[in-house]
Amino acid sequence: MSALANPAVAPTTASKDAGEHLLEVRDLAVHFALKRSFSDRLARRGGQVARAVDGVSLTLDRGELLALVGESGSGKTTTALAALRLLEPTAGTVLLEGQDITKLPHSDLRPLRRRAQLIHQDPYAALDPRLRTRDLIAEALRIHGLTPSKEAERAAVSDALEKVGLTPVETFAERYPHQLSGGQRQRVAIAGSLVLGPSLLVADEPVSMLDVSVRAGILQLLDGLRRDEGVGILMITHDLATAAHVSDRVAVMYHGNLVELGPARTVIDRPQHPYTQALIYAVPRVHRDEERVRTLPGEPPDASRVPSGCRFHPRCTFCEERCRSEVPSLLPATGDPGVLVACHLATEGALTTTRKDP
Amino acid sequence: MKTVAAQPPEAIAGETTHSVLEVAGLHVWFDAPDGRSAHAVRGVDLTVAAGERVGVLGESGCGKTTMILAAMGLLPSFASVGGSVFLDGIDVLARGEQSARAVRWTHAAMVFQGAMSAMNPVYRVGKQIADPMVVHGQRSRAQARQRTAELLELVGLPTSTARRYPHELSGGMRQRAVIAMALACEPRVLFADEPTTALDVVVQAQIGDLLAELADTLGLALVMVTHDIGMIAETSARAVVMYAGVVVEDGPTFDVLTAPRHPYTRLLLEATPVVNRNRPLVSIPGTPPRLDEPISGCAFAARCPQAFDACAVRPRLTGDSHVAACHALEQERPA
Repeated sequence: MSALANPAVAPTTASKDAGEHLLEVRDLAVHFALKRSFSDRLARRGGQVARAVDGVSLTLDRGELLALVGESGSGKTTTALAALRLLEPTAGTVLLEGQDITKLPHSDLRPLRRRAQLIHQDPYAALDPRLRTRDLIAEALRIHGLTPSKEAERAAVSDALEKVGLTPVETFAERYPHQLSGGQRQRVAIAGSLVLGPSLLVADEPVSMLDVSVRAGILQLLDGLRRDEGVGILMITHDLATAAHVSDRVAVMYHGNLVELGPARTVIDRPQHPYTQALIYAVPRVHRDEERVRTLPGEPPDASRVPSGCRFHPRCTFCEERCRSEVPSLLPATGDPGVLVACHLATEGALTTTRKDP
Repeated sequence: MKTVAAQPPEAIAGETTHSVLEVAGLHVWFDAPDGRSAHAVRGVDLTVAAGERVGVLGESGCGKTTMILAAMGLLPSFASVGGSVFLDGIDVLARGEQSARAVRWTHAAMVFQGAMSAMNPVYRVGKQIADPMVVHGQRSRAQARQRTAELLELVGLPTSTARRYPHELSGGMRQRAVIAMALACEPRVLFADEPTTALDVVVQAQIGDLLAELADTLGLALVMVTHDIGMIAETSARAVVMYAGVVVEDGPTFDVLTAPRHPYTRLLLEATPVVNRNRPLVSIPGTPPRLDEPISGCAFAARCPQAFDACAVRPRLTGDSHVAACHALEQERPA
């Protein structure tokens, strides 16, 4: 693939080693300007701004699977899209393999797309119904000019199909999307990303549209990719159970901020932030050792109306005076220094009533 | 919708049962224009008592939604139905749309998956809740307005919600309003089709709790169709598992989910990630059978690790309070 040597991507090969993260997001912010309302115009104010993502920092290593969890509207998809520069960040930097991609000119975005791929939620909508599997997968190769010959293209497609477990390859290569099941479609979509040899995969709710019986297969596929191919995977999900099963680390988002970040099992078993606790507690389950207490009151917040202090304070049962005024930073939790949490009480060991549900 | 032969089940003929929903030998075919047809429900018997909370579990295409649409007489015109459905003693399939109209709202109501699309965006919420009461001649406009306020309170919404438009409500509030609407004419049976799937986890829990609570306080029979095992565990006392248009297991929720008897139920549970249990996930090999081709024997046999010769014959539900349709179970029993 040396044919693709481009000055803008060159640093990847040189600085790939030691200490550097595959993806590093620093203080990322994405704000959307809302339409100026009539009352804004009367008062000669500017329009309101929805602060979808407001100061998110995280890292992802090669071969790592990081789950970004949160409710709808928490900013998880916006974070991921900005990290791929499919959305222009308002502020902050995104380093992919050490290179700041927020400063890349538009002409250099295409080589970036080869290194960082997005897998969509809905495999029914993500595939062109008029293309056969082989063309769906080869399309990316053709766009990126990676097809020196028909044979090379065929080989690359077969290889990708094999990696995603769609065998016999010859049969699946000739199928149209409507001839495939939901799980098979998602595999085709993943193969279409893999064929470019990306180092980063962003999977936006990759299994939420699929039936339970095939979900495990897709999750195992993603797990294998990061183990065997060393691909770093940022998986967006609202399903904590899925996150608990496949990810190394979990990052919990609320209202455009990260509220908790740590090893998956630790965060799920001993959540530190009151929001994470409520979220985990709300997951319906078969085995519950105690009666479910009343779940979190209220609704997810409105990105255009940001509360003062801790953004979770209007819904928090532990809320104190300073939570209304001081914004908590993401600091090591007293209960578990391996976990970062943005809560005044959890970082000072004042949050004693951690709900337990082993 | 065409009805193919319906004979009343013995239970109804004998009168005085406490069941409010009796589905017997239900078959549903969807006819394609090219003459083929998909056999979506292939003989389902389901009896639900007043006040009972039943969760119907199954993956997409297993016929769970088709079954409850048939029970409400809501199937499209290209569907053919066989068997019988009695709702509150009324034969729903007997006289087509006429008998379906007699049961809808007043005997049975339905909460749909997308609360967004279940409401008309151009009418205020209050009017939409009051309309069925007026249409069914139960109340005058003024009385209906009064009752709307009560209903909103019942589902945990401020009474001022009546003056709002659907787009002004959040997803959870909208689903509550839809539930209030379903309760308007005091039905005996409430069908809920994936009532929480489109909602966030925290809101899902709130709605699940609300439905279970309403069923208990109002003595409603709740039939909830979902693919979410956790939701069934939290809201239903009885779990019914469907696969390829048939019921494969039926029993008390706790028993079904902790000691499943059918191999499909067991594999489905093993395939489901559970937040507080750490174990490897399995995927069930293969895909469900095509419904437009005849299925002989056990529909799950092709994917079943325990399949043997006997599976070429369709198994019957066996057992006492916790039944399952699997030949392997009959073998296990001491002769």
